[in-house]
Amino acid sequence: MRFSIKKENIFTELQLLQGIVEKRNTMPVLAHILIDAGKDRVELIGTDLEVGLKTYIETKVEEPGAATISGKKIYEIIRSLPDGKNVTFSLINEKMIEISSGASQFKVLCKAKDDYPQVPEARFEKNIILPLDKYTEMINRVYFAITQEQRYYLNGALMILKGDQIELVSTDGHRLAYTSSKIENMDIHEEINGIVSKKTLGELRKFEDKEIKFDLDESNLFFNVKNRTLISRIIEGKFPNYNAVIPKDNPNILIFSREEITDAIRRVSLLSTERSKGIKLKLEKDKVELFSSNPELGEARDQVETEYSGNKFEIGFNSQYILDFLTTIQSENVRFEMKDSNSAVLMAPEEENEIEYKYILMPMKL
Amino acid sequence: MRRRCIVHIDIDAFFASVEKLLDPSLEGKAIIVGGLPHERGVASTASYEARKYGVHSGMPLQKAYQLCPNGIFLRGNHRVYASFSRNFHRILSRYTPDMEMASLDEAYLDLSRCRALYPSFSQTVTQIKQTVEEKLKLSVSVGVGPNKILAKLATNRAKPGGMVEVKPGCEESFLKELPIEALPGIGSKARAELDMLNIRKIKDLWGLPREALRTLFGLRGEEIRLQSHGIDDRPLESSGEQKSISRETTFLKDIWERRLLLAHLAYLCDRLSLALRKERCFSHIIEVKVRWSDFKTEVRRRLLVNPVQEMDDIYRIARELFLELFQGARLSLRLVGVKASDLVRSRTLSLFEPHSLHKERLGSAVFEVREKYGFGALLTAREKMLEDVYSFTKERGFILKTASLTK
Repeated sequence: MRFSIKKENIFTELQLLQGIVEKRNTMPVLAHILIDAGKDRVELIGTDLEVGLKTYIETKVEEPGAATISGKKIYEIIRSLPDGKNVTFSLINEKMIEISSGASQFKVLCKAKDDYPQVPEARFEKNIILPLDKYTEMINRVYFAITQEQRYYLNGALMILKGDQIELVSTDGHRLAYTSSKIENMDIHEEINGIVSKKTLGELRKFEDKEIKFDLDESNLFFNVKNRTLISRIIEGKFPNYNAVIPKDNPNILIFSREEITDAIRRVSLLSTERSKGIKLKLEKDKVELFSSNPELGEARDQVETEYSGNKFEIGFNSQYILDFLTTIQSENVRFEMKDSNSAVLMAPEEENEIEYKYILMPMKL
Repeated sequence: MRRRCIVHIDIDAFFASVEKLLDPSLEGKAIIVGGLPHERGVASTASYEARKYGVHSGMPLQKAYQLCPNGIFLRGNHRVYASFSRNFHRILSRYTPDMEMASLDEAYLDLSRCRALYPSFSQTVTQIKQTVEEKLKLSVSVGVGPNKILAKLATNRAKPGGMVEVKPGCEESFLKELPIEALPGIGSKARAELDMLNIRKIKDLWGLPREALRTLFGLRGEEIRLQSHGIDDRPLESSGEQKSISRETTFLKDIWERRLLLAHLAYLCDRLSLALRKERCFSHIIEVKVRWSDFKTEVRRRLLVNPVQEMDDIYRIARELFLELFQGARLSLRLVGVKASDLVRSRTLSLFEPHSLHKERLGSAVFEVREKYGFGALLTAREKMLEDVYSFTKERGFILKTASLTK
C-alpha cells in the first residue's frame, strides 16, 4: 500500500472517526481504524460494532493495499503536521506503516485488514432522501431526553417513516420528546421503524450538506452524506407505547412567553436542591408562582403573569427537565397543558413551524 | 479566625446506666447490654464494673461471658434508649442551635456563636453537665476544646463523669502522651503496623514525614497528620439531614436456607421502607450486606436512576443483590442487612408505570394501618415465614435479634 494525500483532506475524516472508535478497550482492534487503498480512492473505516463510519477520499493510489492503525495515534500524527502539505502512507511490511510529510517521518505498528471486523454494506436502493437541516433539527429536539441505562431500548430514539411523514421519539421514563414532519416527495407504503442509538444521532448532528440518504436492512440503519456513510446497529427491544402517554385533552392550559418562563425557572432553580432540582409551580388566576427551597441554602420565589382561568393547584417539576425543552425551541411563546399535580403535562411551542414538537413531562412529588 | 469553642458531651456507659436507673438493684454490678451470654452478637455497652474485667463494647458476647461470668447480661431495649436520647437532645438544644448528635448518647455543641450569651464558658459547660445529669439522672463526661477532635479526646480523658478542657496553648502537651489508637481511624490493624515502627504515642506520629502517613493510610493520611497535631476544621453536622438508613440483623443461629434468608431480607426491607417513609426520603443507592459464618463480610450495592421508597421496589433490588452474593454459597450466613443511602426528598413520577402511583397509595395505606394497629398488623406472606423463628407481637412485628441496639 502506498499513496499520498493532502493533510486537510484526511484530517477532517479522521476527526469524525475519533467519535466512532472504541475508547474502552474491550477489543483492542476496535481502537483502530481501517485504511483501505483501492483504485483512485482511499477508504477509512471505524467501528465499535454498534456504530460504524465509512468514508473515502479520492486520491491517486500508487499501490493498493490495506492495514489497520490506532485511530488515536494516526489522528494525533496528522494533526501535528503542517497544513497544506502532502502526507504519504506506505506499508513497509505487514506490521509497520510509514507516515511521512516533508522531513517528518513516523513508523507505526499496524495490523492486518483480516483482523478488522466486517462492516455491513448499504445499497441505498430504497431511495429515501431527507433534508439534512430539518433532520438535524428533529434530532436536536429528542436528543436530550435519551438516557443511558439498563433498559437498553431507551438508549436511542425511535425513528418511524410512513407515507410522507417522519417521526422521532425519545424518552427516559420520566419525560418524552416527540417530533414529526412531512418530507416532500417521500412516499413509504410500509411503515419503517427502528431505534437509533444516541451515539449515531450525535454523529449525524456533525454532518453538513443539503440531503441525507437513508436505508436499512434487518439489523442495521444506514445514513449517507456525500462521501460518508454511517452504519448503526438497530437497538433491539420494544420501544414503549409512546402514544398512550401523550395526554390528549388536559384541561388547564397556560401560555407563557418562552423567555419569561425560562428566566424565571432559571432564577428559582438556583436554590433548588442540587440532586433533584425540584421547583414548584402554583397556578392561580392569571399568574403562576414559582417556588423552590433547599434546607441547606434557603428559598426562592418568583412570579410570571399569564392569562389563566383553569383550576388552581400546585405542581412540582425537575427544573432541568423543563429547561431542556425550553432551550431547545425558538418559538416566542410556549404552551403547557396540565391536568393535575400527578398527571403528565404536555408542553409544546405555541407557534409550530414545519416540525411538530411535543414534550411530555411527569410531575415531581415534592 | 477566632478560636472555636466546641463541647463534646457523652453519657457514661449509656445503655448500662439506663438499665441501672430502671432497676436500682443493678447498681454496682457488672452489666453487659447486647444479648444473653449464650446468644450471638456483640456487647453494645458494658458498665464500668464490667469493664474492670476487660469487657468492652464490640466484644462478642461469648467472650464477654468468659471474662465476666458473673456479669448481668441484658438484651436491652432500643425504644427506651431512644427516648432517653431524645431528652438528652432536647436539653442540649436549649444552649445552642449549633449541635451535632454524633450518636444516641454523644453530642457536639458549638458555643462560638453564642459567646455573647455566656460570659464564662467553663461555668456554662459545668451548668450544662449538671442540668443533663439532674434531668436524665445519668452521669456524663464532658470535653472542651477548639475543635471536634480535641473536644472528643478531652471527653475520653474525663471519663467517667468528669470534665476536661484543652486550654489554648496546651494542645500539644495534651496530645503528646496519648496512645495513637485514641485518634479516630486508627484501628487494631493500623496500630499493629505502627507498633512495628515503634510508633505508640501521638507524639511519635509528629516525626513521620507526610509521605509515610500517605503510604500507611492512603487519603486518610493527611487527616491523621493534622489530627495528631490537634488541627481539625470539620464543621458540626446538624442532625437534620440523614445520610443513610440501614436495617440489619444477626441470626439466632447461622442460616443456609435460601427461603428463610429471603424472608429475613424482605422483613428488613419492609422496616427500611417504613423508615424512609417516616423521613419522607427516597433512596438512590440500595446496598445489601451479608456476613458469612466465618465472619467475612461482603456488601453489594446498586445505584438507581430512579430513587425508591416502597418496600416492593427495595426488596426487588435487594433480592437481586443478595442472590448475587449468595450464589454458589458454601458457607451459611450469620448476618444480613440492607441499607439505603444517597437520600433525596423528591422524585419525578414515571410515565410508563401508571401503577407507580397506585403502589405509592398502597404503601401509604399500609403505613396508616400500621400506625393505627401496629407494625405486625400487616405483613407479606414471605415475611410470615419468620413466625416459626421469632416471637411476634402485633405492635412491633417480629422481635429480631438486633446486632446493634443503636439501629
